[in-house]
Amino acid sequence: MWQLISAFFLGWSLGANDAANIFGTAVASRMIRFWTAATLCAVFVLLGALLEGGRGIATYRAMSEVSLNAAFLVSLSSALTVTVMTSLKLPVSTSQAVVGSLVCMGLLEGSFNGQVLGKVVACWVGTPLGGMIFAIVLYFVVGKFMNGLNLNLFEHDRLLRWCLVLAGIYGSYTLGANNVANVSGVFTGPGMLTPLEACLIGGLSIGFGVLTYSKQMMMTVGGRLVKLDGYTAFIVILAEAITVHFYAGIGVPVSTSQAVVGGVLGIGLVKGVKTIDIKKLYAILYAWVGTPTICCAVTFLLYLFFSRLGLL
Amino acid sequence: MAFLWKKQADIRRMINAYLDTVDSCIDQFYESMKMFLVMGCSQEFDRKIEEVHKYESAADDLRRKIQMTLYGKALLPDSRGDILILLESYDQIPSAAEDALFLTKVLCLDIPAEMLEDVEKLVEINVEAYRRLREAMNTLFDNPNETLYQTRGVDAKESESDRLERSLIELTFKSDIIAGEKVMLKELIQLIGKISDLAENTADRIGIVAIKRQI
Repeated sequence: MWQLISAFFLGWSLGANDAANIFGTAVASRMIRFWTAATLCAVFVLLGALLEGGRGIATYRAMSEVSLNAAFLVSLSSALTVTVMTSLKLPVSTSQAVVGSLVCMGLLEGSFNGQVLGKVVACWVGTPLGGMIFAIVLYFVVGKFMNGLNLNLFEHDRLLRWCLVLAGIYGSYTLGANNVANVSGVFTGPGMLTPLEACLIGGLSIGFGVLTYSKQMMMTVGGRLVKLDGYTAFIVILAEAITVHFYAGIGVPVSTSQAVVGGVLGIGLVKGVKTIDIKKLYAILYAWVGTPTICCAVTFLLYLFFSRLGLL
Repeated sequence: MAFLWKKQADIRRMINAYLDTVDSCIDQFYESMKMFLVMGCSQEFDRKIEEVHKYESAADDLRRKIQMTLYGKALLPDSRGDILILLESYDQIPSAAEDALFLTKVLCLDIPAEMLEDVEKLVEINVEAYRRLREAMNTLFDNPNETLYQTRGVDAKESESDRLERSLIELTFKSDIIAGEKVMLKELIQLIGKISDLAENTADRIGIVAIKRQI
Protein backbone atom coordinates (compact mmCIF):
# COMPACT_ATOMS: atom_id res chain seq x y z
CA MET A 1 0.00 0.00 0.00
CA TRP A 2 2.91 2.36 0.70
CA GLN A 3 3.43 2.73 -3.05
CA LEU A 4 0.22 4.75 -3.18
CA ILE A 5 1.92 7.63 -1.33
CA SER A 6 3.32 8.83 -4.66
CA ALA A 7 -0.18 8.72 -6.20
CA PHE A 8 -1.54 10.81 -3.34
CA PHE A 9 1.32 13.25 -3.78
CA LEU A 10 0.66 13.54 -7.53
CA GLY A 11 -3.11 13.90 -7.05
CA TRP A 12 -2.63 16.53 -4.37
CA SER A 13 -0.31 18.52 -6.63
CA LEU A 14 -2.72 18.22 -9.58
CA GLY A 15 -5.66 19.41 -7.48
CA ALA A 16 -3.70 22.31 -6.03
CA ASN A 17 -2.65 23.53 -9.49
CA ASP A 18 -5.55 22.73 -11.83
CA ALA A 19 -8.52 23.91 -9.76
CA ALA A 20 -7.39 27.45 -10.58
CA ASN A 21 -8.30 26.97 -14.25
CA ILE A 22 -11.85 26.13 -13.24
CA PHE A 23 -12.87 28.20 -10.25
CA GLY A 24 -10.15 30.85 -10.37
CA THR A 25 -12.34 33.52 -11.97
CA ALA A 26 -15.21 33.11 -9.54
CA VAL A 27 -12.94 33.09 -6.49
CA ALA A 28 -10.63 35.91 -7.63
CA SER A 29 -13.63 38.15 -8.34
CA ARG A 30 -14.95 37.30 -4.84
CA MET A 31 -18.27 36.12 -6.24
CA ILE A 32 -17.92 32.84 -4.44
CA ARG A 33 -15.98 32.11 -1.28
CA PHE A 34 -12.88 29.99 -1.66
CA TRP A 35 -14.23 27.29 0.64
CA THR A 36 -17.51 27.02 -1.26
CA ALA A 37 -15.64 26.81 -4.58
CA ALA A 38 -13.07 24.33 -3.24
CA THR A 39 -15.79 22.09 -1.74
CA LEU A 40 -17.85 22.13 -4.95
CA CYS A 41 -14.69 21.45 -6.96
CA ALA A 42 -13.57 18.56 -4.73
CA VAL A 43 -17.03 16.92 -4.76
CA PHE A 44 -17.43 17.16 -8.53
CA VAL A 45 -13.85 16.07 -9.23
CA LEU A 46 -14.60 12.91 -7.25
CA LEU A 47 -17.91 12.43 -9.05
CA GLY A 48 -16.25 12.87 -12.46
CA ALA A 49 -13.48 10.46 -11.52
CA LEU A 50 -15.92 7.79 -10.35
CA LEU A 51 -18.38 8.11 -13.24
CA GLU A 52 -16.08 8.68 -16.22
CA GLY A 53 -12.50 8.20 -15.09
CA GLY A 54 -12.20 4.59 -16.24
CA ARG A 55 -11.48 5.25 -19.93
CA GLY A 56 -8.27 7.19 -19.27
CA ILE A 57 -7.07 4.41 -16.99
CA ALA A 58 -7.68 1.86 -19.75
CA THR A 59 -5.61 3.98 -22.17
CA TYR A 60 -2.62 4.11 -19.80
CA ARG A 61 -2.86 0.36 -19.24
CA ALA A 62 -2.85 -0.19 -22.99
CA MET A 63 0.17 2.08 -23.44
CA SER A 64 2.36 0.39 -20.90
CA GLU A 65 1.51 -2.18 -18.24
CA VAL A 66 4.14 -1.88 -15.52
CA SER A 67 4.94 -3.69 -12.27
CA LEU A 68 3.82 -2.35 -8.88
CA ASN A 69 7.17 -0.81 -7.92
CA ALA A 70 7.52 0.60 -11.44
CA ALA A 71 4.05 2.14 -11.05
CA PHE A 72 5.25 3.73 -7.84
CA LEU A 73 8.29 5.15 -9.70
CA VAL A 74 6.10 6.50 -12.54
CA SER A 75 3.89 8.26 -10.04
CA LEU A 76 6.77 9.54 -7.92
CA SER A 77 8.85 10.86 -10.81
CA SER A 78 5.77 12.57 -12.32
CA ALA A 79 4.94 14.21 -9.00
CA LEU A 80 8.53 15.34 -8.48
CA THR A 81 8.80 16.71 -12.03
CA VAL A 82 5.51 18.61 -11.75
CA THR A 83 6.35 20.01 -8.31
CA VAL A 84 9.91 21.09 -9.17
CA MET A 85 8.93 22.56 -12.56
CA THR A 86 5.99 24.42 -11.01
CA SER A 87 8.20 25.85 -8.27
CA LEU A 88 10.70 26.94 -10.98
CA LYS A 89 7.74 28.56 -12.81
CA LEU A 90 8.37 26.37 -15.88
CA PRO A 91 5.40 25.26 -18.03
CA VAL A 92 4.35 21.76 -17.04
CA SER A 93 1.47 19.37 -17.53
CA THR A 94 0.72 16.42 -15.26
CA SER A 95 -0.66 14.36 -18.15
CA GLN A 96 2.48 14.93 -20.21
CA ALA A 97 4.74 14.15 -17.25
CA VAL A 98 2.93 10.85 -16.54
CA VAL A 99 3.12 9.82 -20.20
CA GLY A 100 6.86 10.65 -20.35
CA SER A 101 7.46 8.56 -17.27
CA LEU A 102 5.22 5.72 -18.47
CA VAL A 103 7.03 5.57 -21.83
CA CYS A 104 10.39 5.41 -20.06
CA MET A 105 9.24 2.70 -17.70
CA GLY A 106 7.51 0.79 -20.51
CA LEU A 107 10.73 0.81 -22.51
CA LEU A 108 12.74 -0.35 -19.51
CA GLU A 109 10.29 -3.14 -18.74
CA GLY A 110 9.58 -4.00 -22.38
CA SER A 111 5.84 -3.31 -22.25
CA PHE A 112 5.69 -0.08 -24.28
CA ASN A 113 2.96 0.28 -26.97
CA GLY A 114 3.89 3.02 -29.46
CA GLN A 115 0.49 3.07 -31.19
CA VAL A 116 -1.31 4.27 -28.08
CA LEU A 117 1.36 6.93 -27.57
CA GLY A 118 0.60 8.27 -31.06
CA LYS A 119 -3.07 8.66 -30.14
CA VAL A 120 -2.18 10.40 -26.87
CA VAL A 121 0.24 12.87 -28.50
CA ALA A 122 -2.35 13.69 -31.18
CA CYS A 123 -4.78 14.53 -28.39
CA TRP A 124 -2.21 16.80 -26.72
CA VAL A 125 -2.01 18.84 -29.93
CA GLY A 126 -5.79 18.74 -30.20
CA THR A 127 -6.30 20.12 -26.68
CA PRO A 128 -5.46 23.82 -27.25
CA LEU A 129 -7.01 23.58 -30.70
CA GLY A 130 -10.19 22.17 -29.15
CA GLY A 131 -10.20 24.91 -26.53
CA MET A 132 -9.83 27.50 -29.27
CA ILE A 133 -12.54 26.08 -31.55
CA PHE A 134 -15.04 25.58 -28.73
CA ALA A 135 -14.35 29.09 -27.42
CA ILE A 136 -15.03 30.63 -30.85
CA VAL A 137 -18.24 28.66 -31.39
CA LEU A 138 -19.52 29.20 -27.85
CA TYR A 139 -18.70 32.91 -27.98
CA PHE A 140 -21.18 33.41 -30.82
CA VAL A 141 -23.81 30.84 -29.86
CA VAL A 142 -24.07 31.77 -26.17
CA GLY A 143 -23.72 35.46 -27.09
CA LYS A 144 -26.65 35.29 -29.50
CA PHE A 145 -28.76 33.65 -26.81
CA MET A 146 -27.79 36.23 -24.18
CA ASN A 147 -28.40 39.16 -26.53
CA GLY A 148 -31.92 37.88 -27.08
CA LEU A 149 -32.62 38.08 -23.35
CA ASN A 150 -32.24 41.91 -23.28
CA LEU A 151 -30.80 41.79 -19.77
CA ASN A 152 -30.05 44.93 -17.83
CA LEU A 153 -26.66 45.49 -16.26
CA PHE A 154 -27.59 43.81 -12.96
CA GLU A 155 -29.38 40.83 -14.53
CA HIS A 156 -26.48 40.38 -16.94
CA ASP A 157 -24.05 40.41 -14.02
CA ARG A 158 -26.15 37.94 -12.05
CA LEU A 159 -26.52 35.54 -14.98
CA LEU A 160 -22.77 35.62 -15.63
CA ARG A 161 -22.01 34.89 -11.99
CA TRP A 162 -24.26 31.82 -12.09
CA CYS A 163 -22.74 30.77 -15.40
CA LEU A 164 -19.24 31.01 -13.92
CA VAL A 165 -20.24 28.83 -10.96
CA LEU A 166 -21.98 26.25 -13.18
CA ALA A 167 -19.05 26.20 -15.63
CA GLY A 168 -16.77 25.72 -12.61
CA ILE A 169 -18.82 22.76 -11.43
CA TYR A 170 -18.80 21.22 -14.91
CA GLY A 171 -15.07 21.92 -15.22
CA SER A 172 -14.44 20.17 -11.89
CA TYR A 173 -16.40 17.14 -13.07
CA THR A 174 -14.40 16.95 -16.30
CA LEU A 175 -11.10 17.48 -14.45
CA GLY A 176 -11.89 14.42 -12.34
CA ALA A 177 -13.10 12.41 -15.35
CA ASN A 178 -10.08 13.26 -17.48
CA ASN A 179 -7.17 13.55 -15.09
CA VAL A 180 -7.81 10.83 -12.51
CA ALA A 181 -5.94 8.35 -14.73
CA ASN A 182 -2.78 10.42 -14.26
CA VAL A 183 -2.95 10.01 -10.53
CA SER A 184 -3.66 6.35 -9.93
CA GLY A 185 -4.16 4.74 -13.35
CA VAL A 186 -0.72 3.09 -13.36
CA PHE A 187 -1.58 1.10 -10.23
CA THR A 188 -4.32 -0.83 -12.00
CA GLY A 189 -1.79 -2.55 -14.31
CA PRO A 190 -0.06 -4.57 -11.57
CA GLY A 191 -3.50 -5.33 -10.10
CA MET A 192 -2.99 -3.39 -6.88
CA LEU A 193 -6.17 -1.40 -7.51
CA THR A 194 -9.31 -2.08 -9.49
CA PRO A 195 -10.25 0.75 -11.92
CA LEU A 196 -13.01 1.85 -9.51
CA GLU A 197 -10.62 1.92 -6.54
CA ALA A 198 -8.11 3.86 -8.66
CA CYS A 199 -10.82 6.39 -9.54
CA LEU A 200 -11.83 6.73 -5.90
CA ILE A 201 -8.28 7.19 -4.60
CA GLY A 202 -7.35 9.50 -7.49
CA GLY A 203 -10.49 11.60 -7.08
CA LEU A 204 -10.00 11.90 -3.33
CA SER A 205 -6.36 12.95 -3.62
CA ILE A 206 -7.14 15.57 -6.30
CA GLY A 207 -9.96 16.86 -4.09
CA PHE A 208 -7.59 16.99 -1.13
CA GLY A 209 -5.16 19.11 -3.18
CA VAL A 210 -8.01 21.46 -4.13
CA LEU A 211 -9.12 21.87 -0.52
CA THR A 212 -5.71 22.31 1.03
CA TYR A 213 -3.50 24.19 -1.41
CA SER A 214 -5.33 25.72 -4.39
CA LYS A 215 -6.27 29.14 -2.99
CA GLN A 216 -3.14 31.02 -4.04
CA MET A 217 -3.23 29.56 -7.56
CA MET A 218 -6.92 30.44 -7.87
CA MET A 219 -6.21 34.05 -6.99
CA THR A 220 -3.29 34.27 -9.44
CA VAL A 221 -4.76 32.43 -12.43
CA GLY A 222 -8.28 33.72 -11.73
CA GLY A 223 -7.02 37.28 -11.58
CA ARG A 224 -5.54 36.86 -15.03
CA LEU A 225 -8.74 35.35 -16.45
CA VAL A 226 -10.90 38.04 -14.89
CA LYS A 227 -9.06 40.59 -17.04
CA LEU A 228 -10.81 39.01 -20.02
CA ASP A 229 -14.23 40.20 -18.67
CA GLY A 230 -16.97 38.09 -17.11
CA TYR A 231 -18.48 36.77 -20.34
CA THR A 232 -15.26 35.76 -22.08
CA ALA A 233 -13.89 34.21 -18.86
CA PHE A 234 -17.05 32.08 -18.71
CA ILE A 235 -16.64 31.07 -22.37
CA VAL A 236 -12.99 30.11 -21.81
CA ILE A 237 -13.86 27.95 -18.77
CA LEU A 238 -16.76 26.30 -20.60
CA ALA A 239 -14.63 25.67 -23.71
CA GLU A 240 -11.92 24.18 -21.50
CA ALA A 241 -14.43 21.93 -19.73
CA ILE A 242 -16.02 20.70 -22.98
CA THR A 243 -12.60 20.03 -24.53
CA VAL A 244 -11.37 18.12 -21.50
CA HIS A 245 -14.68 16.22 -21.28
CA PHE A 246 -14.35 15.26 -24.96
CA TYR A 247 -10.91 13.76 -24.30
CA ALA A 248 -12.20 12.04 -21.16
CA GLY A 249 -14.77 10.44 -23.46
CA ILE A 250 -12.09 9.00 -25.73
CA GLY A 251 -9.93 8.13 -22.73
CA VAL A 252 -6.94 10.44 -23.10
CA PRO A 253 -5.82 12.54 -20.13
CA VAL A 254 -4.90 16.04 -21.33
CA SER A 255 -3.80 19.36 -19.87
CA THR A 256 -6.55 21.67 -18.59
CA SER A 257 -4.11 24.61 -18.66
CA GLN A 258 -3.45 24.08 -22.37
CA ALA A 259 -7.18 23.92 -23.07
CA VAL A 260 -7.52 27.27 -21.25
CA VAL A 261 -4.71 28.82 -23.30
CA GLY A 262 -6.47 27.62 -26.47
CA GLY A 263 -9.73 29.15 -25.26
CA VAL A 264 -8.10 32.50 -24.52
CA LEU A 265 -6.49 32.45 -27.96
CA GLY A 266 -9.89 31.76 -29.53
CA ILE A 267 -11.38 34.77 -27.74
CA GLY A 268 -8.50 36.87 -29.03
CA LEU A 269 -9.19 35.74 -32.61
CA VAL A 270 -12.90 36.52 -32.30
CA LYS A 271 -12.40 39.95 -30.79
CA GLY A 272 -9.44 40.81 -33.00
CA VAL A 273 -7.28 41.61 -30.00
CA LYS A 274 -4.13 40.14 -28.62
CA THR A 275 -5.21 38.20 -25.56
CA ILE A 276 -2.16 36.04 -25.32
CA ASP A 277 1.52 36.59 -25.94
CA ILE A 278 3.64 34.32 -28.10
CA LYS A 279 5.50 33.11 -24.99
CA LYS A 280 2.37 31.22 -23.91
CA LEU A 281 2.36 29.28 -27.19
CA TYR A 282 6.05 28.50 -26.83
CA ALA A 283 5.27 27.33 -23.30
CA ILE A 284 2.76 24.82 -24.70
CA LEU A 285 5.25 23.59 -27.29
CA TYR A 286 7.83 23.29 -24.54
CA ALA A 287 5.38 21.40 -22.31
CA TRP A 288 4.64 18.93 -25.14
CA VAL A 289 8.31 18.12 -25.61
CA GLY A 290 10.08 19.30 -22.44
CA THR A 291 7.79 17.86 -19.75
CA PRO A 292 7.74 14.24 -20.97
CA THR A 293 11.46 14.36 -21.78
CA ILE A 294 12.43 15.72 -18.36
CA CYS A 295 10.05 13.34 -16.59
CA CYS A 296 11.42 10.44 -18.63
CA ALA A 297 14.95 11.37 -17.52
CA VAL A 298 13.83 11.69 -13.86
CA THR A 299 12.18 8.26 -14.10
CA PHE A 300 15.32 6.74 -15.55
CA LEU A 301 17.50 8.20 -12.78
CA LEU A 302 15.08 7.02 -10.07
CA TYR A 303 14.97 3.60 -11.75
CA LEU A 304 18.76 3.36 -11.59
CA PHE A 305 18.77 4.54 -7.96
CA PHE A 306 16.09 2.08 -6.81
CA SER A 307 17.68 -0.74 -8.82
CA ARG A 308 20.99 -0.14 -7.04
CA LEU A 309 19.13 -0.40 -3.72
CA GLY A 310 17.66 -3.67 -4.93
CA LEU A 311 14.09 -2.40 -4.71
CA LEU A 312 13.26 -3.09 -8.36
CA MET B 1 -25.29 33.35 -2.53
CA ALA B 2 -28.54 35.06 -1.55
CA PHE B 3 -26.39 37.51 0.38
CA LEU B 4 -24.68 38.53 -2.86
CA TRP B 5 -27.97 39.12 -4.66
CA LYS B 6 -29.14 41.24 -1.72
CA LYS B 7 -26.06 43.40 -2.15
CA GLN B 8 -26.95 43.84 -5.81
CA ALA B 9 -30.48 44.91 -4.90
CA ASP B 10 -29.08 47.37 -2.34
CA ILE B 11 -26.82 48.91 -4.98
CA ARG B 12 -29.71 49.23 -7.37
CA ARG B 13 -31.75 51.01 -4.69
CA MET B 14 -28.86 53.32 -3.85
CA ILE B 15 -28.32 54.18 -7.51
CA ASN B 16 -32.01 55.05 -7.88
CA ALA B 17 -31.84 57.24 -4.77
CA TYR B 18 -28.73 58.94 -6.18
CA LEU B 19 -30.37 59.59 -9.55
CA ASP B 20 -33.50 60.97 -7.85
CA THR B 21 -31.34 63.33 -5.80
CA VAL B 22 -29.55 64.60 -8.91
CA ASP B 23 -32.98 65.05 -10.55
CA SER B 24 -34.05 67.26 -7.63
CA CYS B 25 -30.79 69.19 -7.88
CA ILE B 26 -31.32 69.90 -11.59
CA ASP B 27 -35.01 70.78 -11.04
CA GLN B 28 -33.96 73.33 -8.41
CA PHE B 29 -31.28 74.65 -10.76
CA TYR B 30 -33.92 75.17 -13.44
CA GLU B 31 -36.26 76.99 -11.08
CA SER B 32 -33.40 79.11 -9.70
CA MET B 33 -32.27 80.21 -13.15
CA LYS B 34 -35.81 81.02 -14.22
CA MET B 35 -36.25 83.05 -11.05
CA PHE B 36 -33.00 84.92 -11.70
CA LEU B 37 -33.95 85.71 -15.29
CA VAL B 38 -37.25 87.21 -14.10
CA MET B 39 -36.28 88.86 -10.81
CA GLY B 40 -32.49 89.15 -10.92
CA CYS B 41 -30.54 88.62 -7.69
CA SER B 42 -32.76 88.23 -4.62
CA GLN B 43 -32.85 86.52 -1.23
CA GLU B 44 -35.24 83.94 -2.64
CA PHE B 45 -32.68 83.21 -5.39
CA ASP B 46 -30.00 82.74 -2.70
CA ARG B 47 -32.26 80.32 -0.83
CA LYS B 48 -32.78 78.34 -4.06
CA ILE B 49 -29.01 78.14 -4.54
CA GLU B 50 -28.73 76.73 -1.01
CA GLU B 51 -31.29 74.07 -1.96
CA VAL B 52 -29.25 73.13 -5.02
CA HIS B 53 -26.14 72.89 -2.89
CA LYS B 54 -27.91 70.60 -0.42
CA TYR B 55 -29.02 68.24 -3.20
CA GLU B 56 -25.58 68.29 -4.76
CA SER B 57 -23.96 67.37 -1.42
CA ALA B 58 -26.54 64.66 -0.76
CA ALA B 59 -25.85 63.19 -4.23
CA ASP B 60 -22.12 63.24 -3.48
CA ASP B 61 -22.67 61.36 -0.22
CA LEU B 62 -24.82 58.75 -1.94
CA ARG B 63 -22.26 58.29 -4.69
CA ARG B 64 -19.53 57.69 -2.12
CA LYS B 65 -21.76 55.17 -0.33
CA ILE B 66 -22.35 53.33 -3.63
CA GLN B 67 -18.62 53.33 -4.29
CA MET B 68 -17.88 51.80 -0.91
CA THR B 69 -20.54 49.11 -1.43
CA LEU B 70 -19.16 48.35 -4.87
CA TYR B 71 -15.64 48.04 -3.48
CA GLY B 72 -17.17 45.45 -1.14
CA LYS B 73 -17.18 43.20 -4.25
CA ALA B 74 -20.91 43.08 -4.85
CA LEU B 75 -20.57 42.71 -8.64
CA LEU B 76 -18.17 41.22 -11.17
CA PRO B 77 -15.13 43.51 -11.61
CA ASP B 78 -16.28 44.49 -15.09
CA SER B 79 -19.77 45.61 -13.99
CA ARG B 80 -18.29 47.29 -10.94
CA GLY B 81 -15.87 49.31 -13.07
CA ASP B 82 -18.63 50.34 -15.48
CA ILE B 83 -20.91 51.62 -12.71
CA LEU B 84 -18.10 53.50 -10.99
CA ILE B 85 -17.06 55.24 -14.22
CA LEU B 86 -20.68 56.08 -15.06
CA LEU B 87 -21.41 57.59 -11.66
CA GLU B 88 -18.18 59.58 -11.71
CA SER B 89 -19.16 61.06 -15.05
CA TYR B 90 -22.81 61.61 -14.04
CA ASP B 91 -21.77 63.36 -10.85
CA GLN B 92 -20.09 66.18 -12.76
CA ILE B 93 -23.51 67.41 -13.92
CA PRO B 94 -24.93 68.59 -10.56
CA SER B 95 -21.53 70.15 -9.83
CA ALA B 96 -21.67 72.06 -13.13
CA ALA B 97 -25.21 73.24 -12.33
CA GLU B 98 -24.07 74.44 -8.92
CA ASP B 99 -21.07 76.23 -10.49
CA ALA B 100 -23.31 78.00 -13.00
CA LEU B 101 -25.61 79.20 -10.21
CA PHE B 102 -22.70 80.31 -8.07
CA LEU B 103 -21.30 82.37 -10.95
CA THR B 104 -24.75 83.84 -11.62
CA LYS B 105 -25.01 84.89 -7.98
CA VAL B 106 -21.48 86.31 -7.79
CA LEU B 107 -21.68 88.26 -11.06
CA CYS B 108 -25.35 89.26 -10.61
CA LEU B 109 -25.33 90.46 -14.21
CA ASP B 110 -27.98 92.53 -15.91
CA ILE B 111 -28.60 90.38 -18.94
CA PRO B 112 -29.66 92.51 -21.94
CA ALA B 113 -33.44 92.23 -22.39
CA GLU B 114 -33.18 91.02 -26.01
CA MET B 115 -31.11 88.04 -24.80
CA LEU B 116 -33.26 86.94 -21.84
CA GLU B 117 -35.53 84.67 -23.84
CA ASP B 118 -32.61 82.87 -25.46
CA VAL B 119 -30.75 82.45 -22.18
CA GLU B 120 -33.88 80.89 -20.68
CA LYS B 121 -34.10 78.63 -23.71
CA LEU B 122 -30.45 77.66 -23.23
CA VAL B 123 -31.21 76.70 -19.63
CA GLU B 124 -34.24 74.67 -20.78
CA ILE B 125 -32.26 72.84 -23.47
CA ASN B 126 -29.52 71.93 -21.01
CA VAL B 127 -32.01 70.75 -18.41
CA GLU B 128 -33.74 68.70 -21.14
CA ALA B 129 -30.36 67.18 -22.12
CA TYR B 130 -29.98 66.07 -18.51
CA ARG B 131 -33.52 64.62 -18.43
CA ARG B 132 -32.81 62.59 -21.55
CA LEU B 133 -29.62 61.38 -19.95
CA ARG B 134 -31.64 60.23 -16.95
CA GLU B 135 -33.94 58.33 -19.34
CA ALA B 136 -30.89 56.69 -20.94
CA MET B 137 -29.64 55.72 -17.50
CA ASN B 138 -33.06 54.24 -16.65
CA THR B 139 -33.08 52.14 -19.80
CA LEU B 140 -29.60 50.82 -19.01
CA PHE B 141 -31.01 49.39 -15.78
CA ASP B 142 -34.45 48.43 -17.16
CA ASN B 143 -34.53 48.01 -20.92
CA PRO B 144 -31.03 47.99 -22.46
CA ASN B 145 -32.35 47.59 -26.03
CA GLU B 146 -33.61 51.20 -25.78
CA THR B 147 -30.41 52.65 -24.33
CA LEU B 148 -28.66 53.66 -27.56
CA TYR B 149 -31.84 55.31 -28.85
CA GLN B 150 -32.07 57.37 -25.65
CA THR B 151 -28.41 58.43 -25.77
CA ARG B 152 -28.97 59.82 -29.28
CA GLY B 153 -31.58 62.12 -27.75
CA VAL B 154 -28.92 63.58 -25.45
CA ASP B 155 -26.62 64.17 -28.45
CA ALA B 156 -29.39 66.06 -30.24
CA LYS B 157 -29.95 68.35 -27.26
CA GLU B 158 -26.21 68.98 -26.89
CA SER B 159 -25.98 70.07 -30.54
CA GLU B 160 -28.98 72.35 -30.05
CA SER B 161 -27.32 73.85 -26.98
CA ASP B 162 -24.03 74.37 -28.85
CA ARG B 163 -25.78 76.28 -31.63
CA LEU B 164 -27.66 78.50 -29.22
CA GLU B 165 -24.55 79.02 -27.10
CA ARG B 166 -22.61 80.31 -30.12
CA SER B 167 -25.43 82.60 -31.18
CA LEU B 168 -25.74 83.97 -27.62
CA ILE B 169 -22.01 84.66 -27.41
CA GLU B 170 -22.22 86.55 -30.71
CA LEU B 171 -25.16 88.57 -29.37
CA THR B 172 -23.25 89.25 -26.17
CA PHE B 173 -20.35 90.83 -27.99
CA LYS B 174 -22.69 92.85 -30.22
CA SER B 175 -24.64 94.18 -27.23
CA ASP B 176 -24.15 97.53 -25.53
CA ILE B 177 -22.95 96.21 -22.15
CA ILE B 178 -19.42 97.07 -21.07
CA ALA B 179 -16.49 94.87 -22.18
CA GLY B 180 -15.89 93.29 -18.74
CA GLU B 181 -19.53 92.23 -18.46
CA LYS B 182 -19.42 90.79 -21.97
CA VAL B 183 -16.61 88.45 -20.92
CA MET B 184 -18.45 87.49 -17.73
CA LEU B 185 -21.73 86.85 -19.56
CA LYS B 186 -19.89 84.72 -22.11
CA GLU B 187 -18.46 82.69 -19.25
CA LEU B 188 -21.91 82.20 -17.71
CA ILE B 189 -23.38 81.10 -21.06
CA GLN B 190 -20.57 78.57 -21.48
CA LEU B 191 -21.04 77.29 -17.95
CA ILE B 192 -24.76 76.67 -18.57
CA GLY B 193 -23.87 74.92 -21.86
CA LYS B 194 -21.41 72.72 -19.99
CA ILE B 195 -24.35 70.77 -18.51
CA SER B 196 -25.30 69.34 -21.92
CA ASP B 197 -21.62 68.75 -22.78
CA LEU B 198 -21.24 66.66 -19.63
CA ALA B 199 -24.57 64.94 -20.30
CA GLU B 200 -23.32 64.01 -23.76
CA ASN B 201 -20.05 62.62 -22.37
CA THR B 202 -21.96 60.55 -19.84
CA ALA B 203 -24.40 59.37 -22.52
CA ASP B 204 -21.42 58.19 -24.58
CA ARG B 205 -20.21 56.18 -21.62
CA ILE B 206 -23.69 54.71 -21.11
CA GLY B 207 -23.69 53.71 -24.79
CA ILE B 208 -20.34 51.97 -24.35
CA VAL B 209 -21.59 50.08 -21.28
CA ALA B 210 -24.68 48.96 -23.22
CA ILE B 211 -22.67 47.93 -26.32
CA LYS B 212 -20.16 46.02 -24.18
CA ARG B 213 -22.99 43.75 -23.09
CA GLN B 214 -24.06 43.07 -26.67
CA ILE B 215 -21.99 40.11 -27.85
